[in-house]
Amino acid sequence: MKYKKALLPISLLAVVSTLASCGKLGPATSSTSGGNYQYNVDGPNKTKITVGNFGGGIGSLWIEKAADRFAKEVMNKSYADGHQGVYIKFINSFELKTSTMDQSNTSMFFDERFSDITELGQAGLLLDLDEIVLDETRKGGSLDSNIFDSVKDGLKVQGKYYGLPHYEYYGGLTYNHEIFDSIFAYFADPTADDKIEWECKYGTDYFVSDLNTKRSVGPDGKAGTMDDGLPATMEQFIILMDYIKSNNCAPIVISGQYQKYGDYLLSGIWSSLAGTEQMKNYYNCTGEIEVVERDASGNIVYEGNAFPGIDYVKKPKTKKVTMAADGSQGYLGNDMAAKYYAIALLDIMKNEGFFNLDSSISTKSHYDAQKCLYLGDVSRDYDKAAMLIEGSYWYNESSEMGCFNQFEKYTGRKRGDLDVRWMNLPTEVFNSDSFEGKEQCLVDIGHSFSMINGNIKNNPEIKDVCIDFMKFLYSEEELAAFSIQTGMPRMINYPMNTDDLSNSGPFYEKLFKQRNANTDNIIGLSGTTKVFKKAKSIIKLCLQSSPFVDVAGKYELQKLKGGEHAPTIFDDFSIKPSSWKYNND
Amino acid sequence: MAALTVQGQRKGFASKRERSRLFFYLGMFAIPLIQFAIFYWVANFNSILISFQKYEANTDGLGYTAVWVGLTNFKKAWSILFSKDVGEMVGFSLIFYGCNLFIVTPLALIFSFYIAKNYRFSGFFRVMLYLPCVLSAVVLTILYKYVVTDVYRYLVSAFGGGNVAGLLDGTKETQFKTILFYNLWLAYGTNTMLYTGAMTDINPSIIEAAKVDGAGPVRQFIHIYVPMIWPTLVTFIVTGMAGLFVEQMQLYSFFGGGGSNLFSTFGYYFYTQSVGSNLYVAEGSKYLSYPELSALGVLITLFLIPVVLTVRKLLTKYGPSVD
Repeated sequence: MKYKKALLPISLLAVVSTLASCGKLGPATSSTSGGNYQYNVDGPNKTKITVGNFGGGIGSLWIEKAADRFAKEVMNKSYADGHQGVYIKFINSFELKTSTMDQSNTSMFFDERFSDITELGQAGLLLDLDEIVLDETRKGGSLDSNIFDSVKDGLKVQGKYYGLPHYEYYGGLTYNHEIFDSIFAYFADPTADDKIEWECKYGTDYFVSDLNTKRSVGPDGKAGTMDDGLPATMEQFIILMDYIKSNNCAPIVISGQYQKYGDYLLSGIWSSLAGTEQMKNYYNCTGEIEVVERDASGNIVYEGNAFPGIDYVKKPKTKKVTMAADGSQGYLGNDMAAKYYAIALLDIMKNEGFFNLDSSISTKSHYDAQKCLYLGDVSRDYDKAAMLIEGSYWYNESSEMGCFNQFEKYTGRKRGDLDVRWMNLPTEVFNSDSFEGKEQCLVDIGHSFSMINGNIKNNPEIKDVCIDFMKFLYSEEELAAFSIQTGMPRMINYPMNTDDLSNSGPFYEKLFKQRNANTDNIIGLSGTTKVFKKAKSIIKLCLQSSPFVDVAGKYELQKLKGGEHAPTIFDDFSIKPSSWKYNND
Repeated sequence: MAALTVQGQRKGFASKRERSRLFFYLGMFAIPLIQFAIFYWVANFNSILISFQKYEANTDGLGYTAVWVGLTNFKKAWSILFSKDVGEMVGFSLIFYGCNLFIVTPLALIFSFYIAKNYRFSGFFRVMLYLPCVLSAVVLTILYKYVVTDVYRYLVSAFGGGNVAGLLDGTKETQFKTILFYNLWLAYGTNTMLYTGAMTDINPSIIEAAKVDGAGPVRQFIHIYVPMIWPTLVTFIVTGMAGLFVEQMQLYSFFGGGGSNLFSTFGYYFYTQSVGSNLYVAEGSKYLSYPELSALGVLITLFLIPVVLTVRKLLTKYGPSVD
C-alpha cells in the first residue's frame, strides 16, 4: 500500500517533467510570436491573417518587426466593412505542411527547401503573384525586372509567378580568423622570403612566418583580394588541416547531432571546384561539365591515389563532356569530378582525425558546434576548432539564440569584435604551375520561397491584405531592412549600404561584400529546360538533398563513419543512365 | 381490458424508451465505427488503390492526374525490400525481436511470477516497473541518451579514463548494443506489467489446489502460471512479429532525422521515408512517392500475413495447456 501511495506523486512528477520537456522543446517545432510590438497587436475590428514562417535559419524577428511596420502603415486602412487595420499572427515551425495548405488557415508562407514552388503551383495550391511581381509602379522598378535571372524560372509555373525569392544561403566553411592569425595559417606567396616550410605526409608547402609576409593568391588566383593566403587547391587544404592540427587546434567542427550538415561542405566544395559555368550547366541538365570516366561496365576508371599519404581516395580519370541540349544526359551531372572530390574531402577529414571531438558526440547540437568555433579557446564546455561546417545563415541563428551572450561573458569582449569569416573554398584539386583560380561560385542551397495560399483567392479581404503585405515586404526599403536584420540576402537587386550590415554582425558585412562583387556567380535552383523542372528534386543541392542521400536514407558522413570510402559512396549516389527518364517533350 | 390498456401503454412507453436507448447506442457506436471505417477501411483501401497508380503533372494546366501503372510500384518496392540495406535493417529488428523473445520474455515471466506471488518487495518492484510506463517515451529516451553520452563521458573522464566518445557515438556495434539494451529494458517493464496482470487474474483456487497436490513454486510456474497466461504470451509473440517492419527501436526519438544514427531499422526507414515523401516524387529520387510507399506496405503485409497466422496457429496448437 505504501508503494501505491508513492505512485501518485511519482506519476504527477512524471507528467510535470513531460510537460516541462515539451514546453522546452515546443518552440523548436512550432510556436507563435510572443514579442511586444506597438502596432501589430490583436484588436476586435482588425483584419487578421496568419503567416507561417520557417523556424530555423533566419528566425522570426525579421518578420515580427516587418509586420509591426506594416501594421503601422495600414492602421487606418479598412480592408472590409467594419474592419480597420491589420493584425498578423505568426506560426514559426520547422514543418509548415505546405503540401496541405488548401486545408490551412495560414495565408502566407515563408519556407525553406521543403516547399517546391513547381509542385505546389502545379497542384493549384498557390496564389498567382503576377499582380505583385509585374507591378511597374513599384519604387525601383518591377520585381520582375529586379529578380535575378538565375532564379526566375524556379519561381514560375506555366509562365506565371507563384513564389518570390526568400533568403539565399550557401553551404561551406566559416573560419575563425583570430585562430588563423594567431598560428599564421596562411599560405605564403612563392616569392616571399620569410616563409615557413611545412612538410608532412600530405606534401610540402609554405606558410607565412608573420602576418606581414606576402600571402599566396588564394582560390580566386588574384593577389590583393579577401581570400589571399587561403588554400587554393584541395592539396593545400589538406596540408592546412594538418598544419592547424599540429598547432594544437582541431581543424574542423560539425554538429555531432546533425551529421547531415556534411552536405553543407559537399555543396560548397562541389560548386567551388566546378565553378559557375559548370554549376549552371548542371542545373540546366545541358552544356559542358567535367565528369569521372567510366569503363564499358560502368565502373569508374582510376589512376592511382589522388593525394600523397592517403590510400583510400583514388584518383579518377576525368574528361569534359557536353550534355545533350534536350537534357537527356542530365544524369551525367551526378558524375561530376567536383562532386567526387567533395566527398573525398569529407572522407579525408573523417579518416585523418581532422574533426574535433565534439563533432562525434550526438548530444552536441549545431549551436554547440558554432560555439566550438568561437568559444573553444575559452570555455571548457567546447572542444576548440578553427573551421565550422555550416550554412551561411548560422551567425544569425547563433545570435537569435543568444549564443553570443556567452561569448561576451567568457571573453569580456563585444560580439562585434568577434572575427569569424566565410571561407572561400579551393577552386582546383591539385597544385599546378598553371593555376589561374576561379571566382567563388555561390550555390543557393536554401531554396527559400515566399508564397501566398491559393485558398484565399475568393476572400477579397484576406487576399488584399496578403498582397499588400507581400508588396510591402518586397519594397526596396523592406528588402534592405530584412538583410540588415538577418544578414541574409535575397536574389533581388535592391539598394543597401553594406556598412549597415555591421548591425547584424561583421561576419555578414564581409560575406555581403564578397557576394556583391559579382552576383553572376550566385546560382539559384532554376533551369530553363523542361527536363530540369521534372528532375530538379533529385539534382538540387541542399541539406538532406537527394544527391547526397542513399536509398536507405543515409547521409554520406554516416556512410563514411560506417567504414565506406569516397569512391564507393560517390558511386552509390550517382544517377544511372537507366534511371534518368526525363525527356524534353 | 383495463389491464390490456395499461399493458399497451406500458408497451408503448417501453418502445419509446427502447427507441431512445437504441439511438443512444447507435450514436455511441457510430463514432468509433465511422472512425474505424474511415481510418482503417478507407485508408487501407486507398493505400491499396494508389499502390497501382502514379501521379503525373498536367502539362496543359495545373494539377496532377492519377494514371494506372499496373505493378510498376510493386517492382520498385520489391527491389527495395530485397536490397542489401534493407536486409541489414531487418536484421537489426530481428536481433531485437530475438533478444526480446528469448531473453526478456523468460526474465519478465519469472519476475512477474515473483510479483504475482507477492514475495518480498513485490509492491516496490511493481511501482518501479510502472514508472517508465508513466514517463513519456521521448522524455525517457532523451534522459537515457544524455546518460550514455555526456554522463558516461564525464564518469570515464573522472575515473581517469580520458576523453572518450559516448556510447552512442562510437562504432555501429556499440551504438546498436546501447540502443538494444534500452529497448529491452523498456520492453522488460511493459512485459512484466502485462504478465503480472494476467497472472494475478488466475483463480486462486487453482493455485491452492496445486499447492494441496504438493506443487512447489517451480512446478506452479511451469504447469499453472505459464499455461494460464499462454494466450497473453501468444499475443505478445504474434504482435511482435507483425511489428517487425514497423519497429523503430526509438531511433527517431534518439536521433531525429539528423543523421547521427549509425544503423537503421526498417521501421525507422519507413517512417523517415514517409516524412520526406509526397504524392509526386521525381523519378530517380531517393525518396519514394506515396504510391510506391503504399506498394511497399502492401508487399510487407502480404509477406507477414501467412507468417504471423502460421506462427499463431502453431503456438495455439502446440503451446502448453493446463491439463
